[in-house]
Amino acid sequence: MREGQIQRDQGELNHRFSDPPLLILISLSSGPKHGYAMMQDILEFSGTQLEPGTLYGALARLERLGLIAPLASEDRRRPYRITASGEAWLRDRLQVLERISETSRRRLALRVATGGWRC
Amino acid sequence: MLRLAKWLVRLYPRGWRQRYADEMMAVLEQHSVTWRTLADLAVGAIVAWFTWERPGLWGFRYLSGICLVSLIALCTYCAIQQPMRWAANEPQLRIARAMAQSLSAGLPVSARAGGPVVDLPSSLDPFMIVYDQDGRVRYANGVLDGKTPHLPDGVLAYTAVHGRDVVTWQPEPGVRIAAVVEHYAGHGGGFVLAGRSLRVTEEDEDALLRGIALAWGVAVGVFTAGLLIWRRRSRIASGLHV
Repeated sequence: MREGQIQRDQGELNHRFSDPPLLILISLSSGPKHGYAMMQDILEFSGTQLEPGTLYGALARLERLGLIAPLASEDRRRPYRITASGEAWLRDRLQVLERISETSRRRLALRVATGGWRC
Repeated sequence: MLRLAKWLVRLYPRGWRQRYADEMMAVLEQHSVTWRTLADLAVGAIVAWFTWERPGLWGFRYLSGICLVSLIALCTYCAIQQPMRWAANEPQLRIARAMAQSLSAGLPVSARAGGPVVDLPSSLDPFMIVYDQDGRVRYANGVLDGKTPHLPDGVLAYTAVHGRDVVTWQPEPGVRIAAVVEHYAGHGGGFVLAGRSLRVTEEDEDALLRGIALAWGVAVGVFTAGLLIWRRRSRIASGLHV
C-alpha cells in the first residue's frame, strides 16, 4: 500500500475512534462555549473536525443526561457549560483512559526492550 | 452547499428543531460546509428521529422496525421467486425458438411437432400450438376440455411487433401456463406458442411464501420482545451512559 494511502487511512481511523461526547466535555471543562467555539477548540486540541450534525447529536445526548447545561442564548449562539455530573463522568473516563494509556506505554516499552513479542 | 445544509436541518424532528435549529444554523453559517457536513447532517437527522425523546417515539421505533423487517422479507421473497418464475420459462423458450427456426427455414410443422396430446389441467408436460399469420391454429397438442384453448387477444399482435412474448396464460380458472410465443417467417409467417403448466412452480412459490411469512412472524416477534425489553430497561435505568 502506498505511503499516502496509509496516512489517509490512519487519519480516517483516528476520526472513527474519536469520541464526540468526551471531546465536548473536555472542551467545556475549560469554560462555557457555544457550538462553533467548541468545534474550533476540539480541532485545536485533538485534531478532530467535528461536523455540526455530530456535534449537536452529542450535545442533545449530553444535555438529556444532565452532563452539560445550556446557558442564556447570545443572539442565536447558545453557550453550554459542564455540570457537576459531567465533571464526575469526565474524571472517571479520564482515569480509565490514563490506565489504558499507561498500560499501552508499558507494553510498548517492554516490546522495544526485549526486541520483539513476548509470548 | 450552505443552503442544502440548512435544508437538511429541516429533516430533524420538530421538537429537536425548536430546541437546536437556530444555534445549528448559526454554526453552519460560520462553518466551511462540505459534502461530509451534508452527509453528517443527514445521518444526524436519522439518528435524531430514533433518539429524540418525544411522545410516540417508541411507536415510531416499532413501526420503523416492522417496516424494515417487512421490506427485508419482501426483497428476499422477490429475490428467490423471480428467478424461480423465470426458470419456469426456460424450456418453452428453447422449444419455441427451435420450432420457429425450423419453420422459418421452410421445414414442415411435422418436422418438429407430433408429441403426445397434453391435457392442460392435469399434465405437467410442455405443449405447442402453431398459428398462421392470421391467428388460425395450424397445429396443437395441448387441449383443454378436448379443444385447443383460445389465446387472449393481443398476444399474437404484440408478438408480431416485438418478435417474442412471454406471458402467464390462464385459459380457465385454476389452469395457469408459462407460455412463450415466437414469430416465424416461413410458410407465409405465423407464431409458435410453447407452454407448460405452472402448477409445480406455483406450489414451490407457495412454499417459499409460507417460509418467508413464518420467518417474518418470528422476526417481528423477536423484534417486538427486544424493543419491549429495551423500553423497560431504559425506563428503569438510572446512572449515566453516554
